Amino acid sequence: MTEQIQPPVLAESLSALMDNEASELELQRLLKALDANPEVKTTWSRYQIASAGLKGKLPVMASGDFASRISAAIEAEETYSQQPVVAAKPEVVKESNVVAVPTSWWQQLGRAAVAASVAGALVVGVQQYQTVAPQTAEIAATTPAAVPANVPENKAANLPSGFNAPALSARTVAVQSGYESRPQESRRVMYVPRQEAAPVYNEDISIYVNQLIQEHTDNASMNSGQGMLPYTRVILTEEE
Amino acid sequence: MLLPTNFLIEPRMPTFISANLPRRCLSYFSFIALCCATPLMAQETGSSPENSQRDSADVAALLHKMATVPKTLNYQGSFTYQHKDNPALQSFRILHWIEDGVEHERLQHMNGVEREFVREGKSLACDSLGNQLLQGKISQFGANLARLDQLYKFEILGPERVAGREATGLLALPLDKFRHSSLLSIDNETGLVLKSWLVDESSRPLERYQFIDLDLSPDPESMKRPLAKIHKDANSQTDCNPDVLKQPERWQLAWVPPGFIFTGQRQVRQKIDMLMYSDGLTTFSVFIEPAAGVIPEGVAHRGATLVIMDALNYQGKTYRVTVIGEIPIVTAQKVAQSIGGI
Repeated sequence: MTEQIQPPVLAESLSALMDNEASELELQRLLKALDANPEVKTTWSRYQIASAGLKGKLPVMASGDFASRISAAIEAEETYSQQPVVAAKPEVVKESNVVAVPTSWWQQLGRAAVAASVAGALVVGVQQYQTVAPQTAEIAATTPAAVPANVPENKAANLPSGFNAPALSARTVAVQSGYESRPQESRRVMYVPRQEAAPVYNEDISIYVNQLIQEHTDNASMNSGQGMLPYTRVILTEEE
Repeated sequence: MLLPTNFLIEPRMPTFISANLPRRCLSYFSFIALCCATPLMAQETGSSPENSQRDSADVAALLHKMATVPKTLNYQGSFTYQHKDNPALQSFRILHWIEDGVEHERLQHMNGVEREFVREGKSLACDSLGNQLLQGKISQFGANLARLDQLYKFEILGPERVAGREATGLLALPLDKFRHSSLLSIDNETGLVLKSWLVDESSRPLERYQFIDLDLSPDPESMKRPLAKIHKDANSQTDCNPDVLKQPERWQLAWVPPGFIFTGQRQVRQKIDMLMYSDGLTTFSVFIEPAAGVIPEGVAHRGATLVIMDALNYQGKTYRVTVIGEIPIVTAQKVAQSIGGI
């Protein structure tokens, strides 16, 4: 379900081709699609990687592109390497670092949020909504991302149907409009029900999921080598 | 800070296709990557089999240090934490001390209402299964078990300075699509992870934390200050130094990603069976509970944590299944679909 990026017919043909079972017709169609739609190529290479992985033939994962983008992200991170390499870099790079780094980080976040919201129909929901003030907590309030900047963030607003609200943008809008309340984590869990597009809120499910996340975090904390740090993922409030 | 208002609307699911990343962002990255990769590549072309052997020994030593040294120390440190679904920067303080061979830990929220997690009573002599995996102690479990370096491609990124301390950057790229990548900066002296990013398959950061300061000789008495009014106990029960692999009781998973091992089982909230899995760096948990009526099915996530809710019919009974972990959605879905009774 999650992997149906291409039209199902193409995906099936791709899959058939992987198994050497594609018909001549399918092959032609794929080749044609390849030119028109670069994603077919991406999917093809992903299938190959997956297949190689399953057969244990994978020397090194992913594209060099992936690694280099991660390297770039690290490079952009605001720690200061002791390697003289950094200092020796051309001035222009340094400059672009200085200017672009924060932008890039935030842009990436923002885009991830927006993209995720648009993609809700397929898989992922956006769960972390901004909190409402405690006294109004019983109002089912989430702030859509695209609210005009002059709408106060904590004003209760019903989610328009089919609209997923990335919390991030809501926050940025609010910050720009001078909203000053301290951001807080909310325990509210929204989820995307199977075969539906928009995330929904159900109090029982939210409580249930939060409790299980804490139980899971015991596992994460004992078995992933980072001590108690995974508990940052559990939202601790007075409620419950 | 000025934020972009012209978000690109992408009509497709971006999760698995990095080509869907906004072009501008990509080109920016490739530009930086080109500039920065050159010196690195120069080093790499000079690498020989001995070098790569030495590297893998270095990686193993780093992971071993990370798994064994920090738990023996007294320390107090502050760090910031941020995840992708909330732009707010949160800050925490962690306290860790040893008394009579037992670990004591507190994780305190430094913003908002005072609240904390407390964990006490884990014996120093007790290594969890996940910790053993991280140390590379897997020979006792049989030859079939994948080593960490068969699950991730590790890359040492060189010296870094984090929280005023000398650290070594380590990149762990998964060799399959069933786990996320991590970027760790590991303190040279103590093996503590001073900086950590969890990154998804489209190289979007899911969460990150970073220490600001670290005190390795804190006053033990001051660390025992009264607990915050809002506090919860973190469970530290685990099998100690297991030398055989166990299987869950009552349930079995027909499939788990390569390298994931069953690390234990317990009952939560009286009636939910919880099964725990780890590959040493990544964990997920499976919850199964008898249920009646309509069982909610769907997906939720917060930061790196993904939750899949599903229904299971087994021997005429209905169960509510929840898979939770810092794992990609493919993994969680496959796991949820492979649960069955024994």
